[in-house]
Amino acid sequence: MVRLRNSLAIKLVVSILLVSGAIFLFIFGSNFSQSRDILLKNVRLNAKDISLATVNKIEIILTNVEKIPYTLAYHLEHSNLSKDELIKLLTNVTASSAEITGVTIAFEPGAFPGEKSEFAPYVYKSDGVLKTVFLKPPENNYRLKDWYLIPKELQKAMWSEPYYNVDNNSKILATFSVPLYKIIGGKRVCIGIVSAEIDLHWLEQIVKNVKLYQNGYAFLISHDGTFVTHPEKDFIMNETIFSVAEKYNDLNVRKYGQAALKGKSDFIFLNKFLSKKNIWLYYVPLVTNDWSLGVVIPDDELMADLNALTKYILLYNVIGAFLLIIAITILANRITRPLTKLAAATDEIAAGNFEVAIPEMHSKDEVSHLAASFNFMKISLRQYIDNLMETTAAKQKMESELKIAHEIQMGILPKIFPPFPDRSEFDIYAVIEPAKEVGGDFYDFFLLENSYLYFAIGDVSGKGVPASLFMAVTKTLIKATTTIDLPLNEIIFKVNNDLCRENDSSMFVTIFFARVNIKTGEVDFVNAGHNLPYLVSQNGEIQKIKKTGDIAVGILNDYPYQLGKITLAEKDKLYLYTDGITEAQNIKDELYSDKRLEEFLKTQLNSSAKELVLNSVKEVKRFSDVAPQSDDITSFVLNWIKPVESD
Amino acid sequence: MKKVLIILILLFGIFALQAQQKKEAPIKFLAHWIPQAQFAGFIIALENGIYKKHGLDVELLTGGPNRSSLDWLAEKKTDISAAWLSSALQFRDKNVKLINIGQLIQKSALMLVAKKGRGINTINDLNGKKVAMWQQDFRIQPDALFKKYGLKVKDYPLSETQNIFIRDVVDVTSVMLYNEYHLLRNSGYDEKDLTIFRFQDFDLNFPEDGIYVLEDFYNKNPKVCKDFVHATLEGWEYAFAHETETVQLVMKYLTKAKYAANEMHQLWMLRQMKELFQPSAGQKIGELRETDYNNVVKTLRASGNIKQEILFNDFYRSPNGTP
Repeated sequence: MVRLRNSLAIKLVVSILLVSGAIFLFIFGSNFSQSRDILLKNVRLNAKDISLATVNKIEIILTNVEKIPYTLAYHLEHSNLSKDELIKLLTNVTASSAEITGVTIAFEPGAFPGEKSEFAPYVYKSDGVLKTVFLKPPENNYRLKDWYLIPKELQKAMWSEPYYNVDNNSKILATFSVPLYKIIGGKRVCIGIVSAEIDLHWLEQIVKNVKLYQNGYAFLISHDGTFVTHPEKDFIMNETIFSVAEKYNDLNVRKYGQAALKGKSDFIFLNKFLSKKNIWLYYVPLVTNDWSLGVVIPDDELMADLNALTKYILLYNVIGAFLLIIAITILANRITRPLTKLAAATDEIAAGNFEVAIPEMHSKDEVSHLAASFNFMKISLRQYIDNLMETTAAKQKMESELKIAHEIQMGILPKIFPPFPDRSEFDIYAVIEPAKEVGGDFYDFFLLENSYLYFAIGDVSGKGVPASLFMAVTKTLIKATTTIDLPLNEIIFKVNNDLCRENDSSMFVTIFFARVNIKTGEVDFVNAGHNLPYLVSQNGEIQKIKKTGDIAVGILNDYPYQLGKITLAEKDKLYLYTDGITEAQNIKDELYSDKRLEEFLKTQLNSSAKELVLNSVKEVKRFSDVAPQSDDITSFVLNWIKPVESD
Repeated sequence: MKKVLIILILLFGIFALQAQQKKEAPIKFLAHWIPQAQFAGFIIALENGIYKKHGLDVELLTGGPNRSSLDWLAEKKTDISAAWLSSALQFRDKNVKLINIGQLIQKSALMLVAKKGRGINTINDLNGKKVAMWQQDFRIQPDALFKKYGLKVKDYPLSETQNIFIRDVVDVTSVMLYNEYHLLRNSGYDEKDLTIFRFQDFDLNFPEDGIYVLEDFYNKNPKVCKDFVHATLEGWEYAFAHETETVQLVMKYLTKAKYAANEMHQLWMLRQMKELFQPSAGQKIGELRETDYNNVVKTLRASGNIKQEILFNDFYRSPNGTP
């Protein structure tokens, strides 16, 4: 079985899910971030519009209020009112304005004609009734107050920070102060401050009306960061944006506060604003009084739709992923199940069971193609193995027959040495080292009438069974044809004609056939195309027995073979061999050659027949070394020891 | 039987009358500023029954601007007052026989704060700059400082707010470390934007908040005076150890007195008070050190704020000494 994590199904599921997951995440992420950007862009614009509209509303009211002190200051600069006229003017102005809760004209000590010290009439509304008081130290050292001191020093009209009404703490007031100038001695000198005071309750209402999403809200901070309006009532006048930042240890809020007080405007994200929600904040300055409006939009509400959409997309994708897993698993199983069966079947086949059925595939895909190929392979394999078995059996049979043939072939050669132990005049030894296959070399010898030793050596063309049969026939024919009174060339002539007849396979055999008169050492011979034997004399003379110029037997009918004659001296040796000796090859493809043979024979002058035969074979094998033996090696030696006087 | 009963009722009546007569008016205490964490120890001592534990019946009068604690002491509208050492010395100089029975703030919380952006980094950079200062006692040290370093500054009156500084009328302002300095920070100023000049760094350290009584009150009630100081110190100890509880209590007082306030500011104040209370080596908390005293006297005499020679031992009764 395949381990689970190696299974094709798992691999498919994992890799497809990974790739599709990555693609999904990329699309989802970029879609989300783009949607978010678009959303934020719209919200930013929306918040900006609302903020600017709110700021505008506030500034219209503030600007309206500003007109009154400006007008008063201008009027005072260009007129010389008496104390009563001044108070009447203040009363009229205060009464005529709905927004204004009080008006003060505060002079530097002695600056108002007729007043030696501080003079500051203050007309204000108290429960709908106009009251007039004169601010004076020590109870009210107005010259130290922000609304007086700062515009005077800066020589600039300005709004004060918000403050609580001294009488009624529930009211938050702010004052707009305009420096009052007089030309004294040709110089324009600030002689006091004209200020108008307003109740800021309407401000709260305007800011409260700013609504964005469900829980979005707006707030207002003054020039020193104090909350002027905020849904959290306790914040108002008590906390500054910085004290809140300190409380929640939020440096980003502090940074926002600093930027806001510098009159900057931005749309920012604040993480866990006031330790609560993540929010988006749009802040914009009120140019009129250097305050700052902040519009808060909770991030979760802003992102609610997007988040819901995101959740759905995620959900769909999870479902999609599951469907994908199921589909891939089914598909993979459809592929792997037959493959698994196929693998099991293959295992069976490998174990040698060709009877196993290759599972049938109904689909027309690559897998069924594979199964069909497998089936074909199984059948082919089976046929091949059947053939192989048959061939092997046939070959084995043939080999065993060849072996028998070889044994028979060898069996017909005389193999007992010495063959004539009671004869001391001569000594014979012969050996055949057959090549792998059955060869066609042979030798033979026999005595006729005790004085003639016939001997022959031959080499049939070709190899194998035909050659061996041809050799057997040749050997048998020679022996059968030989009679004592028939010259050797006649014998060969007959043998030749017999072999030529019905020699359809056009085989032939080289033969050296000789007869030695044991008594005299006279040798008759016929050399039918055979390697020339050597005559090895005791005196060290090595000579080839010359050709009789005849062709091999079995080639030409009625060919007239010639008879050759030599006479052996005492202890002469005749060395007969087949081309297995001289044509033996070493690994360098060099032939053993006649020359090497002659050199060898020179070293064997005193060897017996047996020694010479065995040594020569040994010598050839030594030469060949590891090179394979390609032909039969046959070696035959006749050692004519001495003539014996016959009776 | 009836006679016995009548006698018993009469006896009971007499005891009851005696008991009622024994109950005296509570001891009044007036702080020199609004009820903020600057006076947390007093508030805690009262609210947590520490005064009661010491056998004291204390009433905390609400302090604030336009209510001078030393004026009230001189007028006997209060029995015990908190006040600055320099203020008390000037009253003593004007023959108000008041004595210090405990010194709380050992180091000047008053300091000058300057805008680094205006190129003020060292004391000499103050020369020619616009400086906002509170009046009277609050400008004794700055004036002495400017004199000492030969600085000419253009001075501006400082009111209850720091807007004069925030609105850039002045380059330098006076703040209390525990109060306005933090308010500046909570108006958006970062520490790095400000250069701070503390008077102790210029040998002008004035111990500030101390506890004062009139000499004859002390002579009549020495134990009450000592118990009051010890109970107050205990209140402070508790306040420093229980910041949240203390700040919430102080917030209650501030809200009741209708002052704008927030917890972070009161917490800051409480923590600074703890630092400012720390006595020098060998000195116990709540004690006035003679060298500090002499330094203040020397400065006040030099500036002409006091003319008489006021001896340390006449002016000060250690809460830990024998009566």
